[in-house]
Amino acid sequence: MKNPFHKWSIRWKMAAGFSLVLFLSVTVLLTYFIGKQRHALKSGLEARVTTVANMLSWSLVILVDAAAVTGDVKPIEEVIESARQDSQLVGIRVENASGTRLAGFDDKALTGTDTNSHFKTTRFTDDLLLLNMPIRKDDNNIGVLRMGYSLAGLHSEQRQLLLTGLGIGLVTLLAGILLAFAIGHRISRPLVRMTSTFKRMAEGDLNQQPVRESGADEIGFLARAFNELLQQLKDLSQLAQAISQGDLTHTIKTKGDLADAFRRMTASIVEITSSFNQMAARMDSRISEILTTAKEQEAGAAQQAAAVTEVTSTMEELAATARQISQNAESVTSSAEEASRAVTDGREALFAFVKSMNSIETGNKTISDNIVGLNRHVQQIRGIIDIINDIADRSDLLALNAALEGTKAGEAGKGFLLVAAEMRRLSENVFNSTAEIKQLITEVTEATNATVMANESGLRATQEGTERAAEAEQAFGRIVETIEETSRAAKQISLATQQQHTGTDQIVSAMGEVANVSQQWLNGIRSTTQAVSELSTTAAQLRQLVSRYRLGSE
Amino acid sequence: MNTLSGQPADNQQLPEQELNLFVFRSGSETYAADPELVQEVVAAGEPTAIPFVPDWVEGVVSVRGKIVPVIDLVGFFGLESTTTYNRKRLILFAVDGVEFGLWSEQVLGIKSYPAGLSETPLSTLPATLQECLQSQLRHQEVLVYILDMNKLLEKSRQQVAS
Repeated sequence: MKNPFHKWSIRWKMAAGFSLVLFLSVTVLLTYFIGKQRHALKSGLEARVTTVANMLSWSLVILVDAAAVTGDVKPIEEVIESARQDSQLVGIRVENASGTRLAGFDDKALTGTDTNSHFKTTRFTDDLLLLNMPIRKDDNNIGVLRMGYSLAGLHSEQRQLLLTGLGIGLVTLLAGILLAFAIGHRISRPLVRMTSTFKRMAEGDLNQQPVRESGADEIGFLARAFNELLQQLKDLSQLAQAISQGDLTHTIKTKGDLADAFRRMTASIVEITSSFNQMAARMDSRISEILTTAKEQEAGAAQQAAAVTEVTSTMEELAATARQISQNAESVTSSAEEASRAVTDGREALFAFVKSMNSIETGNKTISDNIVGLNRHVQQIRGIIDIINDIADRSDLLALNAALEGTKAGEAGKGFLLVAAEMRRLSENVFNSTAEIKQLITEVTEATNATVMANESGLRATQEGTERAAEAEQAFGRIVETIEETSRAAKQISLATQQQHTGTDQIVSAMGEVANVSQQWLNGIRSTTQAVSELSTTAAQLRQLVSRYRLGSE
Repeated sequence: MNTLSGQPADNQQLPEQELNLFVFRSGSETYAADPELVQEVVAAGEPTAIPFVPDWVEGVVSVRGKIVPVIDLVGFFGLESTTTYNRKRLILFAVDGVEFGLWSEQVLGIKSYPAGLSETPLSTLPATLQECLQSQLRHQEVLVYILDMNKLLEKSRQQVAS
């Protein structure tokens, strides 16, 4: 069965229920109280009207009785006129026993049927209260008083009451709905939060804040229980995450079967991992031993192959060198012959050189002797010049003193004075000339000295040249001998290298075979090393896999 | 000699136009004196030093048997002469019968100067030189101090005595 309200939230449901109940109670209460009120009002009105009618009927007895005799209705009209003071009175009429109208006003609606009733009768129409009061004299009905009262005042009073009731009802209804909302909200808010948290948890996101709810009521209890559950799930989730990241040292305080199962699982992973680690370590050491051995073998084989290659190439080089040597030896022989011829030419040239040197030496010696003689003469000239200078000086002094004497002699000595002055000038000229001569002599001396020095070094050089020429002569003799020896040796070398060439060719072919064998061996070792390296890689991968787990004991 | 014979006529026309002076160089200065006072110029050797005299009295020399004192004019005038001059010639003076010698580097001999070249000596000269000067003249860019030999003798005597 489909409930149309099951999609509503709690607060809406509560609000709807509250408002329905309140609405019903307000309606019932209003209906009941208004009915009661109407009844009370009607009874009050009836009692009041009855009292008025009684009083009127009492006062009308005599007048109706008299009117029946006299026919005079004037006093009756005066009486009912006084009753018209009442605003609610709509109409009034007085009839005699036979039903004839005696007096009245606005009395058209007051025609009644129960004329002869002994008792007062009242009747309510929609908007009127109709009253018939018998006018009695001595237990006989002599007339009837009919009165009509308006119910308008009563109606308006009732309407006012209804409006007030409705207003109060409406306010109560609104207050009720608000209250229902508030209570519904108080209940539903934590529930909504828990629901969304549950939903996210169900989606796999356990990283949720606990629900804050401190109330001591059922909602508070529910929130706390929910938080505990969330915490427990978080702990378990963290543990699982730690294990997945390899951390086996993580512990949880949570109790319960699930947590125990987690702990047992962690312990068994630890056990497996540590034993796996030990196995991997053993395997690793074995593999590295094999690898080391294989590498050593490989290195040895490679070294051997390289050595063989080296030997082969060396042998080839040797053969080439032998050929080269053979060729060189031949060219040495021919060069030696050329050298021999050149040496002979050189010796002849040397003899000519030595002869020239000897003649230069003789010439130099003559020059040296002449220069020494020249120097002696120059020194003699210097002495003579000094004597001339001295004589000039004395002449100057003499001339000066003569001039003095001339001056002292006055006019007579004037001619003397001029001669003395001329003498002084002459001696001055002598001084100047001797100074020039001295300068020239100094230059000549310097030049001769330089010549002597140059000559001496030339002499030494020529002597040295002669000595070197003699040495060169001897060296030429030795060179000739050496050339002859070289020529002989070169011929022998040429012969020996031809024999060597044949030997090295044989060695080269043998080495080629050795190289082939060692290359095959090397290939075998390389494939072994390759296989072991792959095995090592696999072991390393395994160990890396296990090493993701951190054990508590480590 | 013919030219000389014409000279007295010029002298008469311009009396005392020429000034005959004995000119010599000593140190870096050129001095002149009356030729009448010069007795002789000799090429003398080293003087013999004598005690208890100022530095500028260099000693005594013997000239033809006469003992003559030798005065260093540069030292006497207190002139600063950084280089020691060449004492080549000794000029013998006789003033009032007193003979003394002055050292000279070069004797220029007897020179005739036109009169009217005399100047008043500068007041910035050393005091002794100023007192012994008769006057000074400038001829062919050379400044010649004309010495008053009487004053020089007098001054040198005073200084030796003191």
